[in-house]
Amino acid sequence: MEINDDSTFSELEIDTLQEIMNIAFGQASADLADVINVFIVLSVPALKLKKALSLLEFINIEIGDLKNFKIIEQSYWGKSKGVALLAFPHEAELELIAMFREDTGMGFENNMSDELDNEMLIEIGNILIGACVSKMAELLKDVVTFVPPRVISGEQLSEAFVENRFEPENRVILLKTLFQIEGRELSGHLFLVNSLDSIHTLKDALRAFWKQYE
Amino acid sequence: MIYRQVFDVINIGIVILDTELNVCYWNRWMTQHSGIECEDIIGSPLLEFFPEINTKYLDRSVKAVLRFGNFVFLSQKLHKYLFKFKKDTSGFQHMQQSVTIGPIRGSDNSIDHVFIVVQDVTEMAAYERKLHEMNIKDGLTGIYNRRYLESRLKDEFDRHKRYCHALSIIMFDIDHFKAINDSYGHQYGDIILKKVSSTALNTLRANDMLARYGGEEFCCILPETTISNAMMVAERIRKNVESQENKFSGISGDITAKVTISLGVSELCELTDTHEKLLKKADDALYAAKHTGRNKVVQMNLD
Repeated sequence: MEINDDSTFSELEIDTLQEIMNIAFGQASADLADVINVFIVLSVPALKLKKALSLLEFINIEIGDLKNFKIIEQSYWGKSKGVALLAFPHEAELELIAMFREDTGMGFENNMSDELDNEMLIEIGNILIGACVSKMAELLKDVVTFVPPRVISGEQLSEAFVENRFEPENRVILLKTLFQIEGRELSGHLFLVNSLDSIHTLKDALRAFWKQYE
Repeated sequence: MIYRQVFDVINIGIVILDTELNVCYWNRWMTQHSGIECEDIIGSPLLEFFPEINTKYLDRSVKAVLRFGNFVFLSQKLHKYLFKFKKDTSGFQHMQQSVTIGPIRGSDNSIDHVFIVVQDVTEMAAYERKLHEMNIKDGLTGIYNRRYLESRLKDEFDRHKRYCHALSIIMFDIDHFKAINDSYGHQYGDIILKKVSSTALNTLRANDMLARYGGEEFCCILPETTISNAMMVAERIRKNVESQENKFSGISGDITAKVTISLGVSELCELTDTHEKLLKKADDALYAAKHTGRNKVVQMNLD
């Protein structure tokens, strides 16, 4: 299998990467059911190469009304580095918090402050992001570490946010998936954004992946 | 292990567990705060020594670490602490902790151990708590201040409007307070403010909220309360304040005096479109009470 161009992915590479993500997210979903007792349905992921500056516009179009969303942001480090953005609309956020609240022994506190709500979201987001990213890394024979996540509002996802993390004019590798909690009207979006430096790692991983079937 | 020389002197707790949660390493900081010696706990299940940490969230966290290689961050704000270590300073009974749980991988990259890092954040939590209290409480009376009242009223207003539940407020102020200050001095005035606020606070239910609105003016938020019930509460506060004897030992001898208050009551209704309007109506009712003889309760309907 020949891969020549190091600045972009061929259609075959994109298809294979999407397939790998799909397997990874399937495994993540099964493991999450065991860890948090909730079955999460992750849609078939889509991979795109985008200019860093157009990231915001893309996310806004994908999720609709960015202002009405809370986003859990977490950076991960491995051979492939990136940022995970887990976005929930406010209504879903409240339901999600209520689902997990009892586990922390705070089940009977009705009026949790915004600050505590955010802390709870951070813990939930940490597990959801960790499951998806680490399963993906596992399939790509990589090991990732994470920095503590933080919660930002949709409005804080600004151009400055993108510029602080990526070269604005460079392209980024964007993976997106929609996830839904089974049996509930509760869904959100997960975006994994890797800088283009990761392309070599991903191509190496693809070679190794194909090799298994040669 | 050579790292032990570092691990045993740093000011954080480090615990290393195997995948069955048996303790493999317990640093000196953990011994210092738990009273459990390293040689006593090593090889034993952690939960045997700390059965109280066998919670759903710990189970979830450890599973996430072992299954995904996740790093779990347990914040002090949400969990307060993981290990129940006594702390008799800073106003907290137990040490407040920020905890990180993560994987340790072997040479083949598989996760064979779990680490727990514990940071004592009690002092920071105490500062935060103090700062928060200073931000929402009135320094003299210890009840909530106007800033907190306004934000809380807005939240209650939105909640009660959404669920169509009753919500009433009472505004009151101390009659002839200027004369009290002029006659007996500001120190006595301060005592009156404290006495009146504590009498009102003791008359209210746990879910009600009392704030100093400014000067000698106070405001109570009464969730899930109709105007007729709020009128009864207001009348009870009026009577309790009226019967209260306020003693003060000053340079010029002992002073004992009684004070009265005037109260205005309003209730959230269909026509109330802002929380400011609800407040304004109670204030108008208070004004009416003041101008029709004082030491009385007046209600104001919005329509």
